[in-house]
Amino acid sequence: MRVREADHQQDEDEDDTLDDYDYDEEDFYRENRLITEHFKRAWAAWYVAEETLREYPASYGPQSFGFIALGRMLELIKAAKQLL
Amino acid sequence: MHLRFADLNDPGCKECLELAEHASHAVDFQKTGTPVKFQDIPRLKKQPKPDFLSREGRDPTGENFYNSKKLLGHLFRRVPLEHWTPDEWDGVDSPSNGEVIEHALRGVGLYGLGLPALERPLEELHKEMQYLLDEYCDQLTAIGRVHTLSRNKDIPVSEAELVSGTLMANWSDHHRRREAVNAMNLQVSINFRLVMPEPCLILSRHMNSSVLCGLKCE
Repeated sequence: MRVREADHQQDEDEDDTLDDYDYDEEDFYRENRLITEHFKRAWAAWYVAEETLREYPASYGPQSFGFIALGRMLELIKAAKQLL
Repeated sequence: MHLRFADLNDPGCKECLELAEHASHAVDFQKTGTPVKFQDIPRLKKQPKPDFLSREGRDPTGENFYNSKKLLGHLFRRVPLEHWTPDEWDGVDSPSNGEVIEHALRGVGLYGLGLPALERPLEELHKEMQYLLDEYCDQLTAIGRVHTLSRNKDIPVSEAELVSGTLMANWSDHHRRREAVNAMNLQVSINFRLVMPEPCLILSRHMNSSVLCGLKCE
């Protein structure tokens, strides 16, 4: 009887561990997807700023806009590295 | 005036003590009702000032100033002044040196980090970012025009000045300059938030949530 109870307890513990593991994995992929999505947006912003600067080098605004986007990209690269 | 007398003589000189007394009376005006007579205040007319009192944009070695022998003068002259100006931009090529930045980003190993490749964005996203850029530029230009020192209001403060939060022009009035810079910085930071809003998604258990905020999250 005691052995059965112990086995049952062990099964529950294993289930908990498995649940934790699933949660962590799910969380990891969710965060990874989020970082990827934000990175795409930041890259697009930088890309657009560069395009404008190539066409109109003296235009007012794209330089700082590109800087903000670049800063965001670097933050996201850092976040992706921390996630691994 | 007190500094000038103290620099010429001594903080305990007759003129300094008189000035201190007048200042004391002026502070008590609301109680006594007796104002200080301006003609009684000791003055130094048309005499050169100590160099540490030269205002921004004035030449402290000019004839209106003298080298103060006191500690303030020594400290003032010890501040290094470098008149450095960057090379002038040719106005033809892109000023951002974007190719170098892109090359460096490709060298980071984005694929290994699970990040997307650096390709031309999809048309929809491209359009969205173009709209965001146009909006940002319009706002920035409007802020630049408000803070211009030029008589022609269509010539804004430079983009570099706006973003770095400083005005390169010489202002004799420090207080007004500080107010102008503060107002400018506030408006620019609001414009930055248009591009980079507050963190909208907080998920992370592994990192600071601010890292996750992206450009214009939906």
